[in-house]
Order: sequence, then structure tokens, then C-alpha cells
Amino acid sequence: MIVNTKALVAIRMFDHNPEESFVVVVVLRRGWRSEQFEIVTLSRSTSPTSEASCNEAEVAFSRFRPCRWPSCFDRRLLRLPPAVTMKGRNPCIYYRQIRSGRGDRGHDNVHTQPNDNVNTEPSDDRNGESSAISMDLILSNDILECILARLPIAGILRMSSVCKRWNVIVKSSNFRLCSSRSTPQIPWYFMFTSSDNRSGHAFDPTLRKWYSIELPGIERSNWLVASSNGLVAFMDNDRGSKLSVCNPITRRCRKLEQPPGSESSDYCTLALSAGGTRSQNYTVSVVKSKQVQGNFFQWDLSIHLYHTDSMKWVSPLEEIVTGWRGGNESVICDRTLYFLIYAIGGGCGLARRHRHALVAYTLAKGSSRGQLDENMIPVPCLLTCGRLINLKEKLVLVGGIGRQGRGDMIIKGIGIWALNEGKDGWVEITRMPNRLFRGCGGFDEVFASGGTDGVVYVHSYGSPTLLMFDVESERWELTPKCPATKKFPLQLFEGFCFEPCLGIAP
Amino acid sequence: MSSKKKVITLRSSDGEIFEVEEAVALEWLTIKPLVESGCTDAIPLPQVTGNILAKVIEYCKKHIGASESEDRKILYELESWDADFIKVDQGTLFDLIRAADYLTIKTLFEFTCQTVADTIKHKTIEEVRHIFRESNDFTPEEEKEIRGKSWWLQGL
Repeated sequence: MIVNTKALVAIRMFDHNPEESFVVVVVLRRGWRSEQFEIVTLSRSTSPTSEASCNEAEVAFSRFRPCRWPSCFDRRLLRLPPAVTMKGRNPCIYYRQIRSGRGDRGHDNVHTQPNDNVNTEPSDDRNGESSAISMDLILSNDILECILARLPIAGILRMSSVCKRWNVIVKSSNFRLCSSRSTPQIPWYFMFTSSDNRSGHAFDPTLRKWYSIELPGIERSNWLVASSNGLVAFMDNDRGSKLSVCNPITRRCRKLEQPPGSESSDYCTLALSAGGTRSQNYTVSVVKSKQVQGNFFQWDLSIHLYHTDSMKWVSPLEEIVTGWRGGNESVICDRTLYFLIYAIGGGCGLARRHRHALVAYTLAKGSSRGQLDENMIPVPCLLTCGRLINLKEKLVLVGGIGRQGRGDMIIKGIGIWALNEGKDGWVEITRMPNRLFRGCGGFDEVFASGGTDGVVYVHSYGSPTLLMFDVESERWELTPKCPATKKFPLQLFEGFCFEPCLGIAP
Repeated sequence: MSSKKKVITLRSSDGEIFEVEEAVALEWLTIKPLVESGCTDAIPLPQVTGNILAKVIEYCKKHIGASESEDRKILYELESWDADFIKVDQGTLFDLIRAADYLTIKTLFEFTCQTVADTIKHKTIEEVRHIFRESNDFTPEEEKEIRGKSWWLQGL
């Protein structure tokens, strides 16, 4: 087992009688799951000389460096052979790192003076039998990490108040990264409880609970929101000048430079694509649309992109479109920016039939002109309130199915479609069952919808309850009611979906 | 085909001798190199006691080949067998985790860790401290600060 050996700890026990002095060598191995060390071998040498060797590693004792207990070494786990007792002795600890199985420089000369700093021996050995029982119930940090990583995220955070050792584990960035990678969490949904501020409640589907949380980086609930892989971006709706990216769980927040383009755009939409725990990079996109002065049918549409690699904004596209305008709905899936555009007035052809169209813009393409028309994809039916979602890098559309030929848009249901590459186009995933559609606080033409990672939330603005659709099991579920109360009868609740993640920082 | 399967001998910390099929022992990454090198002596496992080693072998024998099966019936049966298998006291469960970790048996390690995680998921902090024999070593100030930071989880 010497292959993984990274560190050795030697404990030298002194006694007045030189015959009784001995050395214990502990071989620590870097765990196969994390950076923590654990004890693999423990051997004892009765040789009173300063040169003691550990069978497996043939380590010359003189090459050890005196130290305190190394921080990575959980001394409670040190179970000494029965013959070894530390009582009345001053253990002197030496520590040495081994790189790829070979000794490093180390200190050549080890003084045999007992080190006063470390004369506190492992407490377990002092208390006799009762501590022997408790030792069996103590797990190494490495194992504890693996257990904690399997908890839902709220559980992990809660466990940080058990004791200091647990607190250190939960706080460590290595644990946060590993746990986020190993245990994917079901996305949460945040619901604003007031339009004036940023307070609200987040729904945790794993424990089916609502938590009252405050978001960093946002001032009012009417700001534009986009989320991806644990990060959430906010931008003010008035001038598009305040933009920040945050992790709602760790409450870390970063302000970004103001995006270029007109401050007084009529419509603006924000999208975010984060690389997750693997790359920590992200892209923010802003699509602005402004009516050309004096021309009702012509709109000036521009795309602005921010990437953390370059830390600056680029504006790869600006184009005048006729008969269509941009809106508030966009998403980035698989390096393509999708956004909905809306038909102006009567329109003709496509615009007349469906009122909406989807534009796909490949982000890697860079700057070029006159391509929006070519990349227009018709929507599956007459839509009201189309919402775009990234489900595992696949584009999903949630929308109210409108009735053709009605002046006022009364929808007859809510559908979920996925966009398939190639000729298939839209494929219907499901329609909201009638009993839910009618029973859930009355869906009129507007509702919010968000989702990631196989879950779609549909949220009627007038109701503090959510409908959750699990794509894999194809099941609809009603969540418990959000503890928010309506302050006035027509109060609307807005919200967004995000993935809770400890291991990502903006 | 009655060719005898190769058997590996193991010795627990308390000197008990166990025999397992080679295929089972090969799943234990810690001793895999020894098994592959054709070791015929009893392999000493100084960190695992006999009763725990018996449980570990029982689990691995049941799971070998079955975990990868795509037959729903087999998987369902395995799941209920697992549920019965893990009905043990806290000490044994922790011993199983340590043994799985020491022997590097991924399936058993993940299963036992998940079991502990599921047990503590809905427990109060006090209960968790009791299970893990941890004591609250925060100063009142530190505790206040931690509670302040995760105030939104207090409703749990």
C-alpha cells in the first residue's frame, strides 16, 4: 500500500530509561476520494537510536522534520498497539512529506529533546475504556466528507453547526467542490414575496420545504433574472446598467460591468450560461431591442455578450428587423443563444400564424450580419407567454396554447416542447393535465416557468403554489404552498428556478 | 463444468479465517494486487474483525454480478435484500463503512454512506451529535455566528 503514501508521521516516545524509548511510525495515505490523509500502517520500533526504519518505506528517521500534529492528521484515529501507552511520556512528533514515494529534503538533524509544544497526547488514550467505545463511533474526516456529500444541500449547511470538525469540513472549498460534483441537487424555485424588495422564499424539492432567504445583488423583484448551473444573474429592468452574478446559496456576488448598447431600450432579455463546477467560467448575454424612431414595424435588435475569460463585453450583432421585435425571454443551451421574438401588428405568414418565433444564434460564430432571418424557427403552435428553458443543454419551450381567432387570448392549456436538432423540430413532451390546469389558482395568459436538470416548474403569478413536472418520470406534482401571504388581492408573485450548489462562485 | 473456482483465504484482525471466491476478492481494490499476484497465504486484514468481515463477504457475494443486471425483478429483489442487510446497529454500520473504506469496496462504501446520510437527514443537530458522539465544542459566540449565517435553515 505504499503506492499512495504521501506522508509519514513518526512519534518518538521518551522515557527516563533509554531502554524504554521507542518510535512509532505512522504511514499516512492520501485518500482516494479527497485530500485528507488517513492512517494505513502503524509500526513500532524499539530501537532507541535516532535511526529507525519503517519496513515498507525504509525511511531514515533522521530525515523527519519535527512538527506539531499535522493538521491533516486526525489524531483521534491513532490507535496505538496495546503495548504502547503514552502515559507519562512526552511524545515528540516528526512529520515528513513524501513525494512519489521518495524522501524530500527534510531536516537531517533531529534533536532528541522532547518538544514541549506537543506534549498533549491523544486524549483517547488517557481515558481508558469509555473512550475506546467512542473511538469506534468516530469516523475519519475522509469518510465523514463522503457521508455529508450525500445529504441534500440544506442538510449539509445545517450540519456545519454540529461541531468544529464538521464545520471545517463543510466550509472547505475542496469539500464544496467535490460534493457538488458527486451529488447533483434538484433545482430550487425562488418566489418573490414583494415587488418592492428582494426578499422571498426558496422551495427545496428534496425536503419539500420553503426557506425564507434574501438574495444578494438584486434590488427589486422586477429585475431580469437568468440562472445556470448554480449561478444567478440579475439586471435592472429600467436602464440595464446594474448587472450582477451571484450564488444564492453561498450569497457570494460579483458585479459586472454595464453592458454596452442603448440604455433606453424598449425590451431587454438576460441569459446566463455557467460551466458549472468543472470550469467556473460563465457567459452572460443581453439581447436589446429598440424601436426605430418613426417606424412602428422596424426594430433595432442587438446582442451583447460577456465572457469571464476576457472579462469584457462584445457586441457581435446589431440588426434592423422588420415585423418583429425582441422581448424578455432568452436562454443559452449548448453554446447557442435562443431568444423569442414577437410579431408586430398584423404581420404576414409566420408572424400571423404564431405570433412568436424563435431565433437561434450560435455564440461561437462571432460577428456577422444579416443572419437573424435565416435562423428563425417557428414555434409549435399559437402561443401566449412562451418561456425558454435549458434542460440538460436541450432547449425546452413552455407555453400557453392559444385559441386561434380569439381577440383576447384565452389559453386552452399549457404545453412543454423540446427542440430536436435536425428535421424533427419541436417534439411535445407533455401537456399540463386539465385538473391541474383548472385547479391551480387559474392560469390565465401569463405565468412564470423555469427549470433545469430534468425539472420544470410552472408558476401562476396569482398563486403561491408551484406545479412541478419531472421530465424523466413524466409526473406532475403540486408543491406545498409558499408561506407568503397576499398583501392585496391582485398581488402577483414572480420567481425563478436555480440549482443550489455550494461549489461554484461567481 | 465443475472446475473448481479459485478461493482466496482472508484472516480477520481477531484471527478468524474466511474463504472467498477470487471474483469477490478482486472487487476489493486494496487486496486486488495481492490476489492478482497469486498469493496463496491467508491475507491478513488487521483492521477488520471477523463478524464485520463476514457481513462484508455476505454483501459482496450477493452483489457480484447482480448490481449490473438490467432485469428489474433482480434489481428490486436486491434492493429489498439490501434494506434487510443494513438493519444493523449504529456501531456495526460505522464498522461496515470503515471496512468498505479500508478494503476499497466502492459499492458497499457508497451504500453504507448513503444509509447514514439518509438517517441523519431529518435528525436534529442534537441527535446527530449523539449518533456521532460529537460534542458541541463551539463557544457561545461562535455558535451565534454560525446560527446567524444559516438563519434561513433554522426552520428545518
